[in-house]
Amino acid sequence: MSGISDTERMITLKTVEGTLFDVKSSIAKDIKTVQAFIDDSDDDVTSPIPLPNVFTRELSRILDYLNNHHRFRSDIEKADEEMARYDAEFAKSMSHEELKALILAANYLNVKDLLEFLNQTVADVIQNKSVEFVRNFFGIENDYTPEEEEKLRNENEWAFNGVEQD
Amino acid sequence: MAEKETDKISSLPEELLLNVLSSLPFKEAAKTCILSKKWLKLWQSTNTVKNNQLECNNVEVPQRKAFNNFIKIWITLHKNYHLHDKFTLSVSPPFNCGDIVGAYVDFALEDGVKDLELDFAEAQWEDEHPEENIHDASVEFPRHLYEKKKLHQKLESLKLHSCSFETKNFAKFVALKDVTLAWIPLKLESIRTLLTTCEWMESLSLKNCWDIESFDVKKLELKKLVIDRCMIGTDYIGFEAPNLKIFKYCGSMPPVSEVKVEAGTIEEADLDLSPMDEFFECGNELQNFLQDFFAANVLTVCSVILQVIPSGDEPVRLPGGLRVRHLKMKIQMHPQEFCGFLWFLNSCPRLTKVTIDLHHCNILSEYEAPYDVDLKNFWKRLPVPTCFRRSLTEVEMNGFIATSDQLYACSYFISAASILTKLSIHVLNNKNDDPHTVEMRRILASQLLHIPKASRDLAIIIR
Repeated sequence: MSGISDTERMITLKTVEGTLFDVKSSIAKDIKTVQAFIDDSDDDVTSPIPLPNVFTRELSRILDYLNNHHRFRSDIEKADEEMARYDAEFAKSMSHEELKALILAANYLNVKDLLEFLNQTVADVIQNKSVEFVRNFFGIENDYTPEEEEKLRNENEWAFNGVEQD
Repeated sequence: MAEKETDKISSLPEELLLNVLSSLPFKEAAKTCILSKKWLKLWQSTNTVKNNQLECNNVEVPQRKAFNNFIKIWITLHKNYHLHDKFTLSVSPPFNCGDIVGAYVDFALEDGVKDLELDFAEAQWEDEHPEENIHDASVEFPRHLYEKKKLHQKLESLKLHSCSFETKNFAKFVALKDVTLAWIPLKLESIRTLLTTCEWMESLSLKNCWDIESFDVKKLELKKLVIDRCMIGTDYIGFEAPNLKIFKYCGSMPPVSEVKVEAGTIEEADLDLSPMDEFFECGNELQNFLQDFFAANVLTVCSVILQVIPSGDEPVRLPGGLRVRHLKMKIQMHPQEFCGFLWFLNSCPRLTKVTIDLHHCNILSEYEAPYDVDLKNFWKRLPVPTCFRRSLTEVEMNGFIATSDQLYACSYFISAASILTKLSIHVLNNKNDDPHTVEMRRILASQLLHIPKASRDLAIIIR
């Protein structure tokens, strides 16, 4: 291992579709699922690590996110501001469907920071939205009878006050 | 395609849905109970919701009863779960909310918390003129909390907004380090009692308090003191604070000050006179005030201070100078700020770093320049302050919009500061800014790269 100091060790990841991604080992550290795989193998990981639950589109976005965050972190001074700006762009660029797919991928890969950020993004999307909007967003089937729903609504009237109308 | 994605999401593990739920504010999370039976169960099982921060702003008075009922139900559902770290309750407008405060605070504080904030101030008070900002405390600090033993040992930080209290009872909170009092009438006697009964306190912030006869407190053990837009009768601030590290002041006038802080201990002074109404020649008072903090490492000043400071007997520099190493200026680079800008550079011979946060400022009406100066041609022939030759190595400009004066200021640093190593310019790029405007700011900023540099080692970074 000592021979490799100037160029960082690379790790190859393989998506469901078979696309290969080369990742710096410092980035792989943030992907806990990959890191666990590396830790478990005794030798250097030379062959691609298969990710049977992750699609190319999501992996490429996740790596994008991690690479950028690494870059920001290397410059401590403005890190927070730049990061916030990047995150805002990142959140804006996703459709709702992409957002959901990304949560699943980030969860499988166990990228904690990203997952937290995505949760907050979803939370921001569904805030102040009507019940119907949120049901649609999550694909929730309403299993209340109209009477049950009415009762719950009355009990929690304060919370629904000021919601956009359905 | 859409259907497939929908399937995917509804099969999200509950643990992931709980994560989303816990990212929502209390009220929003409560609403999810109506989505489906599964979500009702989720909501009932969660104890990670940001429920340590209960905000019921703008809950109409008729809704209060419903809210109360809800809280009751929620409390029975969560009776085995208590908060330990932080609890914030903010109710606005704060009428008739005694019940909510009682029920919820009791429940939340069963095991005591470290950090308690009760906020009954109304949001729009912030915008009102300070003199009109007198609103009787809306709610009284729940009396039985003074007797709560679990709180005594645990409470470290207490913030009360428009919430009255009994100072002498604070003595029971033996872990209390950090106290913020806002929007209440406060007598000097209460401040003194507070400081002597809780002598273990480290930080005190007073915000929009009134009725303070004067801030004459003799000996102060605090590490941090904030006096923010308070109405102090005599405008007098006097104390001796050997442990004070951080001091912040915001008001419409420089106070009459007799402050003694310890050189080597005092780190930061943040002085802000931005609430000033119109130009007032109070340079001498301001210089006296500033001189009390001459030993601070970091000094933050606002646009109004720059406009006013040269109006005293010393229009060019403070005799003896300040020991400031890092100067932060919250200004917009307006001609009315020029003389003060130079005044500070001249008065800080040990300065190593200047941070300029550019934004729209209070440019005072009735301004008069302190000496005969052509503000239009100000940048043409400027003296070189001592710090430019001896100590200044870094300049940072944030929120740069490339006005000609902002560009001139940059070029002044580039062409005159001979040991400068870094000039970073952060071009303003807000969410709503037109991309062309932002690009134009960048292009204008990049012209600075062609200016001859006084320092060989200067790197100019434009972001």
